Amino acid sequence: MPEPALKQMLQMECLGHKSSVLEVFTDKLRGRLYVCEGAIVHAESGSLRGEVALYNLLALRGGEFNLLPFTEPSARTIESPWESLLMEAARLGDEGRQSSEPEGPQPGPTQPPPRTEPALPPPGQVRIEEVVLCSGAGEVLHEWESKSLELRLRLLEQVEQQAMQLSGLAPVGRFDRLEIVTAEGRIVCQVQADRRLFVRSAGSPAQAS
Amino acid sequence: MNAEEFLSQRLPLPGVAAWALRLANSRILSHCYTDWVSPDQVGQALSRLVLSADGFSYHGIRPTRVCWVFEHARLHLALRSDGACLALFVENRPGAADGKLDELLAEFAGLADV
Repeated sequence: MPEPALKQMLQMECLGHKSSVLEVFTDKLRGRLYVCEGAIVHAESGSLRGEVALYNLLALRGGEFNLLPFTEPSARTIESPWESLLMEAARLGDEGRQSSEPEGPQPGPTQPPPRTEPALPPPGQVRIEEVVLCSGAGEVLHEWESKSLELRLRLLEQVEQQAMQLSGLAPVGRFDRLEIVTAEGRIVCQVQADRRLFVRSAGSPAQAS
Repeated sequence: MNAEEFLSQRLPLPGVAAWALRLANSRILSHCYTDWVSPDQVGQALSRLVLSADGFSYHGIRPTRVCWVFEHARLHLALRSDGACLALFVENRPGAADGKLDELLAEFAGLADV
């Protein structure tokens, strides 16, 4: 089953350290997710605010969303790392999944709906194809569509070692992430003290932001 | 226009501290705009960047561009099918010309002869 498009888009905005507002709307509800430099800083859903609003929006079935330029929210109500927020949303979704509707909010009029076939997405769009998230100690916390988990874990170790070698050559500071562009798309490997993350996407992002 | 001429026309750009170029004939050229890194460091870093990019093929990954993001700097590497590659050492600071860097790296990949 494909990941809901809203969650994928939110993940891409965070991974890309983007700043934006995701406006979500269904027949009965309107909400907004605020992302500032890759961090989810605020969410509002009807009368809800903060993390509960975020989980509410990510649990929606049906509806649409638009990606808007970032504007400062009335308040910043969320401080937790986006990875833990999305994992908690996934956990809550697993617990509460009773609806027969399989899809969350879809891109609104400003973005065509995502393709479901395995071909590259249209220019300016990306599709998440693989995710591996580990704790800092290397324990696998979440894996999605990874055909060779062992290989991905080895790659993350390799990236960590090479980053250490590079940081020993010049005063570049703490390593954050490796971004790889291929003919098919993009790969991000993030190695930090508390997490290791591998994300592979197909297609190329729009130049905005 | 050869790659050295190309770079001398496009650089320096804000934030770019140094560049290193491996030509298709394996000759290596480099230039530092600041004393933040030395030519020796730049040469060594280029070798490590290329080695690591080559190593990704073991994982089924064939990069055309790589960017190592650190706290204070970004190390960009653009790879061409003829074996030539260009590394840019860019400081993380406001006003760094990310868009122009993207253009420069894309143009390098499209140069007829390096």
